[in-house]
Amino acid sequence: MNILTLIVFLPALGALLCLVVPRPHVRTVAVLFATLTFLVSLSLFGSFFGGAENAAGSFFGSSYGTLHNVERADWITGQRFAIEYFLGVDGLSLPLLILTTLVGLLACLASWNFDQWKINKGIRAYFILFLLLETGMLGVFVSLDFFLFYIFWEVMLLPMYFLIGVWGGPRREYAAIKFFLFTLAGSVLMLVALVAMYFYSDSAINSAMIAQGTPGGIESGYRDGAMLTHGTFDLIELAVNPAIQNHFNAASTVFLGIRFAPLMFMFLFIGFAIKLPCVPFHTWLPDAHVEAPTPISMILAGVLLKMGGYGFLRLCYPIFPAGALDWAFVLAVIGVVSILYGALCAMAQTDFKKLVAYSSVSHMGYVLLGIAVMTEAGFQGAMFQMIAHGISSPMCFFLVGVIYDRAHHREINRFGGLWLTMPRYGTMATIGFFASLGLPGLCGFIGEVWVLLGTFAAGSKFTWAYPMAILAASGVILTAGYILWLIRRVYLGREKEEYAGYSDASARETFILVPMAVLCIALGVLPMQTVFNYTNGTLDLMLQHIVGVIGMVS
Amino acid sequence: MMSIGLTEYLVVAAVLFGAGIFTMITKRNAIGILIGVELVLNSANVNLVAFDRYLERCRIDGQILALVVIVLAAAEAAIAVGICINLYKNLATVDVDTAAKLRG
Amino acid sequence: MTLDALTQLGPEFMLLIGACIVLIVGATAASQRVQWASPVALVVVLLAILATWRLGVPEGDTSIPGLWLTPLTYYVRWITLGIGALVILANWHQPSESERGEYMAMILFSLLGVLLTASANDLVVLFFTIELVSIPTYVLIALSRQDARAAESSVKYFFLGAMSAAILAYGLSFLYGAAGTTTIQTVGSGLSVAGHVTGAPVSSTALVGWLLIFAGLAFKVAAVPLHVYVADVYEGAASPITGMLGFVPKLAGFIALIKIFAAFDWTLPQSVFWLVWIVAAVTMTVGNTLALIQRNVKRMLAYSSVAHTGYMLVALLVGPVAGEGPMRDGVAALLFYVAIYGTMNLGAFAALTAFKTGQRAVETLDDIAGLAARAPIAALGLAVCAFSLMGFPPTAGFLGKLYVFGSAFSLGESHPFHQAVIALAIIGVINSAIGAAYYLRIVSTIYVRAEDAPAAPASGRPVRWCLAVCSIAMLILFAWPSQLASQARSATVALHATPTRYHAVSEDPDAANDTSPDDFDPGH
Repeated sequence: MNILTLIVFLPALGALLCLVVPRPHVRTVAVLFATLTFLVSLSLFGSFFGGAENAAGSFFGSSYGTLHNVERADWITGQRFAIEYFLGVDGLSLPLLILTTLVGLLACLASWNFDQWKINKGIRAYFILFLLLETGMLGVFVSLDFFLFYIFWEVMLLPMYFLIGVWGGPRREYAAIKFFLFTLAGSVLMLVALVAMYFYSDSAINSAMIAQGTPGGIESGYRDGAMLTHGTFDLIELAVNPAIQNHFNAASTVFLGIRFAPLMFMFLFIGFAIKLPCVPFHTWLPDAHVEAPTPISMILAGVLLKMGGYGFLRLCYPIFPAGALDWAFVLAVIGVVSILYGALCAMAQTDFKKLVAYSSVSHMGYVLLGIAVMTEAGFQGAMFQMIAHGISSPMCFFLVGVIYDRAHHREINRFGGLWLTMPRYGTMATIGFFASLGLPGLCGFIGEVWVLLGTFAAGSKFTWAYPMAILAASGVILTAGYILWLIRRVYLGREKEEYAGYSDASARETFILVPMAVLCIALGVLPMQTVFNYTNGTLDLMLQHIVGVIGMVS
Repeated sequence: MMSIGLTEYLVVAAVLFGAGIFTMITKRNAIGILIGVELVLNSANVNLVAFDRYLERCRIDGQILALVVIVLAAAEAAIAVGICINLYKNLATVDVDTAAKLRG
Repeated sequence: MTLDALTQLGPEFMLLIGACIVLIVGATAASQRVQWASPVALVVVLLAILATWRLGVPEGDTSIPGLWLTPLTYYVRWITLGIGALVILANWHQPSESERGEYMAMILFSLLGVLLTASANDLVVLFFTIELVSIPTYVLIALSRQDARAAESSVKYFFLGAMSAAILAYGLSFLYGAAGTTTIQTVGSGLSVAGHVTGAPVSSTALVGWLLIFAGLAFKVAAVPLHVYVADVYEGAASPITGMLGFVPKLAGFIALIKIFAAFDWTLPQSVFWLVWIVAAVTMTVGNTLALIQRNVKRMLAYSSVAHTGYMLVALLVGPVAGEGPMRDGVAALLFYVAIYGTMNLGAFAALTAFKTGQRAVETLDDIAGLAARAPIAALGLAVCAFSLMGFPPTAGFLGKLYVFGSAFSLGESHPFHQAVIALAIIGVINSAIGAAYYLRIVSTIYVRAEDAPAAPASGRPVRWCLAVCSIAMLILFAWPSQLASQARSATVALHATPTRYHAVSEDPDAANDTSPDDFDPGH
């Protein structure tokens, strides 16, 4: 069996097992399978081993579309119609895949004290849904058939909806429905794009077959010897096949009278922007985070938000470069607004969890900005920011969860002097929040700086790049403002009597926090070895492809 | 003297149709509505037979369809009586405006 | 017509004889023997399924006057009898009194009507079979429960049904006058003989006939503006029979519409095209909007049924002209979707049948609040059906919607209305997102809300079996849709009276995947 299939369906297998094991062992099985998935996913590094030499070498191939651990099989076939089961990883998906298995494992451990939760009925259902959620998330990152991607994208919603809706806080029903409907609204547009892209690629291939006089089909853009005879859902093919790219990005290709590439780009963008989330599609996020139980918040912040960014990089940009160029300014503005608005909102919060939630909106703004400017540093920074945020934000949410378990409230202003009461916890909290702040030497810094550098570098292409960079840089100050203020209010100051008896972070809690803290530091100190070596090859090749197509059609 | 042609029959049928629809919409008594249904069905019959009589291309089929319509109308009337009795048992009236429990 | 030809109608005869037996047993028997009505009815349907399987796919057999046995017949037999068996399971203990014999016989007669509609090759037969589908349903509603509301809803359904049948008859008379024949196969050429060559404007007589037929059938499929009865009828009738009302008349109505459209060869005059376009758009929008504001689950599902009719009308409007396969052929998509819809809708109503609050059947959202805590498996079944109705993967409802909207997108630029159809599909996609809100409310109510008045289990095992089969089928058909989809595809092959317009369709589904020179044709 292909290793990717194994990774994706191991959690689902665990879910099946959870169905039958006796109730007290359910959580053991869940943790076991989450660990197993994590370990198996680590073995993927094997193929990427050697890092630096390969970064520019043959490992990422000579063009976008070099994949590893590929698995392809027909799934639903009909006349002139095929949906494939098509999995594979490249530099874009590998780090996110590892991040998912890691955060999945840590969140699973964070669910260990399920019995002490306020709503502690249905432990079996909880862990089954949790593992199914992990399968869904892993599937999104590795599937390279648009249809399969869409299925995983949608399927992942269901467990999330139930996990928030059943085990959430007091306003869980509202939050879960809002989360579901927002995401669904986005995926409806994605569905339109899915079907339209299929039929437009069909007609592109048909006319190419006529033009070339090859009734046996046209050659695939990246697979040697493969022939295309009808439309495709293959995300790589859609991006690299010259016939499809010419048709998609040509100014003469229209959909309902509107130019095809920008319209489809926008349809897909809105779907992913809701997930990212960026202003103005972000309003589901604070509600979902506040109501979700701690481990689910970790998953939500650590993995789900990354799917938005992954979607931009996998679908919007390589497939519709012409659309990317048209919308660059709008996207950059949305990114900068998200950075500033998210930071200002975070500053105004008195609910601990809501503050962290808004900080996510702000941090994801950098991802959008970095992608929008279409420079090497921008893409790399955006990718790094996703990974960094994927580590620091689950840590922050877990830190909030730890204190909420003890105090049963999240009012920032009622806390104080926690560092003195809980020294171990306080230390971890400082690392986590400083990483989120973007302190040099911690993970948050690299991503933000790279994005800002990338934005400046885009100044030669876009006149608006400098002001954007300056505005985004000012966001760093706001971030520092709300996080330092938060640390002062919660962790510093005199010890408060009502919190005096609190026990420090337990062994389990420390065990969850330490890996994240270590990674926060490791990513900050060794960005090349931990992230860039694995991602940059694919990202640079993708950018070359995008620039090439833009040059060709304009 | 004016000769009676296809058009006249079609007009008669259309008038029957209109009268039937009007009856169905305005009558409150279940039996009254049923009469409206019968008028519309018979407008179809007039049409069918007229087509058979006046059009070269139409053969006997229309008359068969008319017979089927008549038979089905009878079956429908039987069901109608059953349903009306059922309504009467429940509400002691066949005035359909009284039956207004179901609203949304 | 020989005896051999009559054996081709095996499933139909089994239903007819079975229905008569059940009716007689029910009329004469003491109450103990009435217990046998449901099992006998089920056996009859299963035997008919067996006969369908043994007979195989008929190849356009016209040896029986008035009938034309085609792959469409075969497909409709399968889905009607399959879902019919589930309908009988859902109605197993319905109604509780001595009327079960009549009740089951009516179900069988109605199913028989659908089977014959699929084979009808004559306007006379078509009118007759549509009535055969409808008349038993009037009786079924009245019998379904001892309640003033059931009586009221049967009156409403009957009078509107009778009116639509009368309008249908009036419309058929015009079509006959225009074509000079009642044989559906030749109605199209009849219209051409009468001076209306296919593609040229249809004569006003035929057009009037077409409009009236469409109006009459719009009632059967519950399209706006003839949808007004739906909510009241669904609310008044008992839940298990409501599950059937969402499928049987809709299927029969759509088959009849397909046949009429095929007679016109899908060459619609502009005015007619826009009429159907508007009806489809308004139907789905009105259905979804009204469903959003309901508190009663049955009324909600009633309006959802209206909305689904809207989606199906999109596929009907596309027709088979865009190409083969469910992603392209609108009729295949429609036939696929109506089977999926029938199953998931029945599943949802079976779930409602399985519970009661006090002495009352569950109806409102409050009644099913917190159901998941008490009956996790039934709640899961209802949730699967709700997600399928929503069109959410991993359920077959998603594929159904994908095929329907996909067929609309597949219309090439050569089609005169392709932009309008794509716009309609986008309206449909947006509508399905609106629809998600109320289906999600059902799920949310059973899983998230606390129970106020806990619903207690009602009825026996068969209803639960029905629910289980429906929900499992939704999941399985998502993973392996190819069989049903390819059957739906081959069902459309014989639809056209004039095969000129229809491209050569290869009989072997495997050969379809091979690259043949046909695929090279951009006109697909």
